[in-house]
Amino acid sequence: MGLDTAESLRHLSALRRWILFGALLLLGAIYLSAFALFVSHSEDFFVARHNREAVEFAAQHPVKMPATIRFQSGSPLNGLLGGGWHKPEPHGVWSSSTDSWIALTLQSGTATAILRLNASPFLSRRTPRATITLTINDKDSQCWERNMANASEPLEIHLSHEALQTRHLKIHIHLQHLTSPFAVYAGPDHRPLGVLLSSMAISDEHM
Amino acid sequence: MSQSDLTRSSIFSRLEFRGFCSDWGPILAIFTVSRLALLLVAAFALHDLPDLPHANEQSLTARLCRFDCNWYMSIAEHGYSTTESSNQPGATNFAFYPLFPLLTRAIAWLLGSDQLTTAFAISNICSLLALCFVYRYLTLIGAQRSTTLLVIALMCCMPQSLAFSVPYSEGLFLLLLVVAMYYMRREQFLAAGVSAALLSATRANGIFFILFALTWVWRRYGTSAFTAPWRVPEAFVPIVFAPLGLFLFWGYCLLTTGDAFAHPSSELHGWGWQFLAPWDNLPLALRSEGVPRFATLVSLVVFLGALLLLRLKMYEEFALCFACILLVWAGGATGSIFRYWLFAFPIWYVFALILRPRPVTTVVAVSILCIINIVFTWAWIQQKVFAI
Repeated sequence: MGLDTAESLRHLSALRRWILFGALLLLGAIYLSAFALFVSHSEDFFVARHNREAVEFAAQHPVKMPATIRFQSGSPLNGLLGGGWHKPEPHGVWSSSTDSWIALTLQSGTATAILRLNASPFLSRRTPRATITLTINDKDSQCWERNMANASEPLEIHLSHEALQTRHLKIHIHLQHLTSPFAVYAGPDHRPLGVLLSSMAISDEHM
Repeated sequence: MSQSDLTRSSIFSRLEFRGFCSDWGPILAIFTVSRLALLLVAAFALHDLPDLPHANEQSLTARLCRFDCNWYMSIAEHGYSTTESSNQPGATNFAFYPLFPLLTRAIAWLLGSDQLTTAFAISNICSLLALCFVYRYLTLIGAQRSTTLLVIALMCCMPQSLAFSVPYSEGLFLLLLVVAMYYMRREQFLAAGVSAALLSATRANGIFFILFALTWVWRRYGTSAFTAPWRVPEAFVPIVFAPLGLFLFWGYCLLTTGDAFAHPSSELHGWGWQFLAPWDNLPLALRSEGVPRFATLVSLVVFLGALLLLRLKMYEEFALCFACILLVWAGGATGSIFRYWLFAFPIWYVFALILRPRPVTTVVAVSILCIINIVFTWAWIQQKVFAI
């Protein structure tokens, strides 16, 4: 079929029309299948890389329980922060997307432990509530509703035996939505802000 | 087709070609004069710069290759990479579509030429050809010659029209877009489809050609084309071909990074660009300072122009332009004030129709555009961010 085909296309035989129609349908089906593959197999490469780097950093810097890790500008363990964070600031680090990750490796396995995140969500008059979900190693999960009254309460989760035995923790913080202070008339900051994490503590449940 | 029909058709084609060539003169003149003027401004701006530490940064070509040009050249020279920019965390060259840098690489390899020079040449040649096709397209839809030439002049004078002459994908994008639109209207569907497929490999918003094509099919064949598409499958060739470039790029991204959507990922982390509902984003952008506010104000003027397309019953062009306007309104971080609208020639056609019977207003309008264009070209050389 040449490029200058207006005339010949107008006189396509019925069979050729059906063949062309079938070919277009096939191409459409290939698009749909490819799109499904793209969506199901894709992971934000930037986040994936930061998560990988955080896991490597955590493996090189195992933590002995009990431990408190601070996330502020210049803190030595900021490398534990995976994807979904802004640059650490003097008072903590803000999450930059609805999903953010932290990696943690324990020096030795333990039977029971509590993980406490000193984190408070960004709330304003226009966004007075936030729902935070914490998931450990894609299995143990807990959800908190936060409002102006309880915003700064820490997030505490009991770690399962299974998670503790692996010694490697992948902590996933999920927020339903996040916004920037500028968007809600709460300040000049244009960055989307999720939770402000100042520190994370892990201790034996019986301590 | 009889012998006499063939002879008649070939004579017609020859006459049409001759007419096309005779119209090249004014287009070439407008394009060349506007480029020389911008080059002169750039040379003066370069002279005004303090001495730079590296000698290669002092050349005019180096100073003209600013902002996105460096990203395109990095793709042309080294291919795609997930390495972030040292002074822009999260920014990678995956934020840029492949056709322009691939073309640069291929032609430079074929000719054995320098890639930067080749990129400059491709950009200028594509822009000039694009303007010729804009002329043909507008003539096809019944525009008068003087109006069409005014559209060409407006496009060459538009602020940031420097993007037509530096290694940016604007020229190539405009060429492929107008070629796809032209051949769609001429019912040469395979040519339109090939152009549309290449278009979506040039810039993300190339995919909106589908809206143009769908509206055209609806107006040409009625709703029956959609209820019984097997009756006119040829009309759907451009529509089905259009996403091909986009999907190939997504596939490449998945294979190399594990993220088919590496383009939006990079735009999000490197440039802060993300989708927001236009009704949420527009008030935010208007409240912002600097580039986002001006860009939004300009987009509102462009939108008014697009609405006038409806009065002219240019529904296909409206569908295309409105989708592109919505994309800018939905973008969480608008990066450019005028550049996004260089391709929107149907809107400049509307403005040309308004201006044509008013010579004084036309001169004033073109002069204002030229002055702003000079300021932006100066700022480009001086690497001021608003010139991006």
